[in-house]
Amino acid sequence: MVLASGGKNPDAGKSAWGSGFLPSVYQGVQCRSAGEPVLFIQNPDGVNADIRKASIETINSVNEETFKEFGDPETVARIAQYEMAYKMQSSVPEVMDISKEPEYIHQLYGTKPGEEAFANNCLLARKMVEQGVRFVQLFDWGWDSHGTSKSGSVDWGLHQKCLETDRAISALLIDLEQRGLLDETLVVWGGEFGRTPMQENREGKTQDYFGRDHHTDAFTMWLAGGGIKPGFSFGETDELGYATVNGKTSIYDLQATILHCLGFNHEEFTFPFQGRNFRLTDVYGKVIKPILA
Amino acid sequence: MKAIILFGAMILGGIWTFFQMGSGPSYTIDYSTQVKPILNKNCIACHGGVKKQGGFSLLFQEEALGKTKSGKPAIIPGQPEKSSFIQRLHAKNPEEKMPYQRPSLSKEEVEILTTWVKEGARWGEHWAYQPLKDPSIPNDNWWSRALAFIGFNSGWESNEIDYFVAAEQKKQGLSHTEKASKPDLLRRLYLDLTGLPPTTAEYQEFEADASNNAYEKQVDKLLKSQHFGEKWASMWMDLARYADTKGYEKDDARTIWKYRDYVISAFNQNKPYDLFLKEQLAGDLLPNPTESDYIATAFHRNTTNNDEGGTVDEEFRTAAILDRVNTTWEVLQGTSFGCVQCHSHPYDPIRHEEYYKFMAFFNNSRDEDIPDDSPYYRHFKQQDQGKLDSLKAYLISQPKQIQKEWTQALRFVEPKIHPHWADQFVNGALADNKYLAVRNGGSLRFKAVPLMGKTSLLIAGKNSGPAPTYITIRQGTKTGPIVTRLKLDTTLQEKYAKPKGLWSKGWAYAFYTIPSLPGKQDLVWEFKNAKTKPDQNTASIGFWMMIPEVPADLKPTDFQKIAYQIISASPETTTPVMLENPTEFTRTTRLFKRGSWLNPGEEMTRGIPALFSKKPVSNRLELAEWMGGKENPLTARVAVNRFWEQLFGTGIVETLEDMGSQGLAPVNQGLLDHLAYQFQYKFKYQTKDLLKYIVMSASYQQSSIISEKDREKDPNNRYVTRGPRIRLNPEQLRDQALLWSGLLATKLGGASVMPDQPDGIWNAPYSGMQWEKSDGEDQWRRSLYTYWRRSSPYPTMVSFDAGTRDVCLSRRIRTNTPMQALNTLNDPVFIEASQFFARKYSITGAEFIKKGYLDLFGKPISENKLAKLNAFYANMLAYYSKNNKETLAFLKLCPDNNVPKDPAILVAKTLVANALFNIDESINKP
Repeated sequence: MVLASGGKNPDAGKSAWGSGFLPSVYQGVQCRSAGEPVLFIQNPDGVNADIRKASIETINSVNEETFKEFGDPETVARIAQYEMAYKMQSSVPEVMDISKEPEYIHQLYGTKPGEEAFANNCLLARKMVEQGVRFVQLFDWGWDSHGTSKSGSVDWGLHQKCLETDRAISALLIDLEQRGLLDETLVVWGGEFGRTPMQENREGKTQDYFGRDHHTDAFTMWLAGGGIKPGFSFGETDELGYATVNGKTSIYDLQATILHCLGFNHEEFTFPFQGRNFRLTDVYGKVIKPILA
Repeated sequence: MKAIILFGAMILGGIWTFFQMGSGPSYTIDYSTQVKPILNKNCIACHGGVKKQGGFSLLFQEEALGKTKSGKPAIIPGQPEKSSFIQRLHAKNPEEKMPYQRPSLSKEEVEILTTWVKEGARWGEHWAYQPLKDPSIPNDNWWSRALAFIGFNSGWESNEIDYFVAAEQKKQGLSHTEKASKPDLLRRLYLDLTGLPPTTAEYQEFEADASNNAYEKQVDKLLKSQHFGEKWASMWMDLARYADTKGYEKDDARTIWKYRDYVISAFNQNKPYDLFLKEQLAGDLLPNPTESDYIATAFHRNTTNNDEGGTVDEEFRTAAILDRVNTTWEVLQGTSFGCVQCHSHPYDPIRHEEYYKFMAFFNNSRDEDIPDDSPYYRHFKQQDQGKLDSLKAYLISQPKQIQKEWTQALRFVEPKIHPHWADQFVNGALADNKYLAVRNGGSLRFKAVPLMGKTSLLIAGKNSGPAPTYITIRQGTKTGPIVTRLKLDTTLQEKYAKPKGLWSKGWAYAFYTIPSLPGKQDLVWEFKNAKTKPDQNTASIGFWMMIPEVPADLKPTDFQKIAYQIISASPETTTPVMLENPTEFTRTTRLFKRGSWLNPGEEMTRGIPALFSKKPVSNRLELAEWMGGKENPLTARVAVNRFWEQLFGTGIVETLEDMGSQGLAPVNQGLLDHLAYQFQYKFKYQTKDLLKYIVMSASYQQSSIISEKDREKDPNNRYVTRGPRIRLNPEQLRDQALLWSGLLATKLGGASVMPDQPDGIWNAPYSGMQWEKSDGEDQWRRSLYTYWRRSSPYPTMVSFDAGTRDVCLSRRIRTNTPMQALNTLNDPVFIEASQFFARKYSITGAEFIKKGYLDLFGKPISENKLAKLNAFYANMLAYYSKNNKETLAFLKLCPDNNVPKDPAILVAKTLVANALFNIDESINKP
C-alpha cells in the first residue's frame, strides 16, 4: 500500500511503486488522501454496499453457471477476486478512517482527521500493519531544498518539513512498540539521495534563502524494529559530511539487508527475466551484518 | 476394403524403417536439447560469457575444446576418462568437485555428458539459430487424406496447422475439442482481428449465413475493416514503447502520434512485415524517403529523453542508443541482448564486442537527448509546403549531395549544433544543462565544429536585456582572429518568426552571413552587453547551425529568402525521427568496458554477431534488409510466435522475448517453423495472410470448453486442445463497453485524447501538464488513442497488466486481481457505458435481460442465468422505486430536470447492464 503526502506524488510517478520486471500483481496500490481512498473502490452515487453486494453475488452466481459450461479454472479465480473486491470495499475505508482513533493517539501523532499529512499517513501505516498489510510505503514530497524559494529553503522549508515529520515518525515507532508490533515490523526511513554539506548558490547569484544541492556521496538512512540493532549508528563521513570515510554501504546492501530481515536470502531469491534468473539486488549487495540485532 | 488399405499402410511403414536404418553413424546425445540445458543450469555461470574460471568456458566450441589454464583441454572428444570436464564431476575433494560447492549432477545428467564426450563432444547449434526450413507436415499424405475422405479417420484438420497440432497432441495422449458454436466463434474472431466484439446485426448476419464458407466470409470482411489496424497497432505500441511523454523525472509531452497512425495504416495496408521493419529501422536511409518513411523511423525515437536539470545529455543519449539496440534484439529477434552490454552473453554464443559492433549501426543518428526531441520532421502548413515544393523544383537539377543538405536544413532544421557542444565557459554556463547563458564579457568555445566553408549562420536565441547583445566570434582561441561580430537585436522577437512548440523557450531565429572557413574549426564566442547587470544574462542560445550554400546557378537572393522563411516557419506539428549524421558529424563507436559509457575502449566498426551472419553489413538499411532476408533465422519465427500468442494467449515459445537457449523450448517446433516458413516465403511476410491462415485452422475454431482430462493434462492449453479462452486486455475491455453502449467514436487516428479519468492521477511535481478531458466524441475513442503518460498511465491500463512503456514490453503477463473487478464495476467509464446501454432498450425486466444478453453474446441466455439476473433486476427495481433520492443521485439528475418517466427502471436496467459487462462472458473472449 502506498500513501503520499506533501501535496504531490513522487517524481518517478507510478514506477516508484511499480512491479518492475515482476508481474503486475506485485505492484503497489496507492491509497489516496483526496477522493476515494483506493481508485474505483467507491460505488457510484446512489449505490450502497448492500446493492453492490447483491450485484457481485449476481455476477458470481452467473459465473458459477459459466464455470459449469466451460470448466475454466480462471472463472473460479475471478469469482474469488470479485468477493475480495467487495471485502476491500468495506475494509479499506474502515482502515483509512482515522477519526475513530482515541484522542491520545491523535495527540501522539499530531493527526487531524481529514487532512492530507505525513502524520495521518504514519497513523494509517500503523493501522494497515495491524490489519496484516505486508508492505506500506509512505512518500512525502517537498524535501528538495535548493534555496530557490521559501518552502524549498534550508532555513525555513526544511525546518517545516522536520516539524511535520519528527513527531509523527517517533509516534509511529512508539505506537508500534506499545502494540508489540515493532519487533516484527521493519521501519526504514530515507530518501533517494542526500544534500551537499555546503550551500548552493544557483546561477552564481546570492539567493534570498539558503539551500543545498543534491549529493550522492554520503547521506544517512535509519532503520528501526524487526531485526535491527537499536541505538546504534554505522558508518562515518569526513568532518565536512562530504565523503564516506568508513562503513560505506550501497543501495544494494540496504536492499539485501531488508530482504534478510524479511527472511529472504537475496542471492537465492530470483525471478526469471530476459533469459536469466534476476535477483532483486541485481548482481550486487551484501547484508550489512553489523546493524543486525 | 478396409483390410486392403491397412495392408497397404503396413508395406509403406516397412519401407520407411528400411530407409531410416540406412542413414549414417548414429549419435544418441544431442547437444542443443540435452547437453546445453545441463551446461546452462550448472556450469556456465562460472565457465561462460561472464567468468572463465580456470580458463575454461563452455560458451563457444573453440573455447570448450581449447586449452585451459592447466595447459590441457578439459574436454578430450572421445575420451571421457581423460577429460577433466567429466572426471571432476566424480571428484571427492570438495575443491576439485564440480559443480563447485553446489549439489552434484544427477546420475542421468552425468551419463548424458559422459556419452556426449564419448561420442566426440559434437557441438550443435541452438534450434532457433538454425536456418529456417519448411518442415514436412506430419501425417499429411494422400493416404491419410484418403482415409479421411472415406470417413476412416476424423478429418478434423482444416489446414496444415492442424496436422502439426494433432501430431503433438497425439504424442501427449491428448486430442482436440469440437468446433465452437457460431456465436462464440464470431465473438472470438471479432475481438482477435479488430479488438471489438460483434454487434447484434453482425451476429445475425453470420447466424443466417448457411453457406459453406460463411466463416471465411467473416474473416475476409474483418481483415478489410479499418479496426483491424487499430487492434494490431495496439499490440505494436507495447513493443515500440510508444508514449505521449518523454519519460524520466520531468516526463513532459512529446508529439509522436503520427507514428502510431503509421503503424495502424501499415497493418491496414497489409504491408509486408519485412518492409514494415525496414521502414521503422531505416526509413530515413531509403533512396527517396517519403514523409511516411520518416515517420516510421519514430519507432526508435520512442526512447525516453531526460530533461531534468543537471543531467548530462551524452549519458541519456547513450542510454537511448543502448535501448534501441536492446529493443531491436528483444522485439524483432527474440534475443536477450542486454547482458552483452557488460560482458559476453552468459548463455548464447555472442561476444561482448559484438554488442558494440551492433550499437555502431545506431550510434550515428543526429538526436542528442535535446528537450525538443531534435531532430524532428516538420509537418508544414499548406502555404509553407508550397514554398518548399517551389524550392525543391529548383534543387532537382542539383547534385544529390546538395539536395540532401538542403532537405535536412529545410525540412528538419538540421544539423543543429546544440549547446552541450560548448566548453571553456567564462562567466557563462550551460544553464539547466540545456541552453547557453552568458553574462557581459563572458565567453565559451565550440571545439571542432564543422563549418565546411559555409557562410550562412542561423542562431536560435533570445536576447535577455533591453539593449542588443554583441557576439564576437573568434577562430581558434580567445585571442584568435575575429571571424565576425554579430548583433543579437532586442527586437529579434518581433523581427523574426518564433517557431512555436519547439521548446519551451520559444527561440527566435536570426540569420547572419559570416566569412567562409574550411572544415572543422574551434570557435570562441564572446558576449558583450554593457546594459546588463553583472549577474544577468546577456542572451541565451538554444542552438545554432550553418545553412547550406545557395548553388550559384540558382537566383541566390530569392532562393535564400524563401529558404529562410521555410526554416523559420511554424509547422503544423512535428514528429521526432531518425536522421543519420552528415559525414562531417560522424561519431565513432567504442566498446564500453564492463558496459559503462564512462569507460570507452577500442573503436568498433559496424557488424552483426558472427553467430548470425558473416556478411559485411554497413548501415541501418542493410541491417534491416538482413533482418527480413533469407539468412536471418529469427525474424519470421519471432513474428509468428507473437501473432500466435495474440490469438492463443501463449506463444508456441512461451518466452516471446527470448528464443535463446535460456528461453523456454517451443512446445511444437514443427508448427512454429511451418508458420514462420509460410509467413516468410508463401505469404511474402503479409500479416493478414498469416492471420487468415491461422484463424482458418480447425485448431483456432475449437470450442473452449475444457474437459476434465485437458484441465489436468493440459491446464494451460499449451497443446491447443481447445479454443483460446483468454481475458481481454484493458484496451479491449474499455472499447467493448463503449461499443456496447453506442458511445464509441470510430474516427481513425489523430492526436491522442484524454477521456474521463479520476482527478489527481497526474499529481506530478515540477510539471504544468494537466489532464484536460477531451470534448465531444474524443471522450469515447478507442483506448489506443488515450494519452499515455509514462509516469502515470491511464488507470485501467495499470490495473490490467499494461507496462509503463519506459522500455519495450514483449508480453503482458495476465493477472486476475480485485483491483480489476473494482475497475470494471465502478470506473465512471463503465458505469456511463452501462447506462447508455440500458437506455438503448425500451423493454424492461426479463425481456431486457434476454435481449441484452443476446445482443452482447449472440446466443440466448440460459434459464439459470436469466433467473439470477432477473431476481437481481426485481430486487433493484423494488429498492429504487422506494428510494427516489438514490435513484436521482445515481442518474446524476436534479429532481426537476430531465428525469425519465421511470427512473427506477433505468437504474435497475443500468445495474443489470453493469453486471452483464462484468460477467465472465464479457471479460473473456470465448
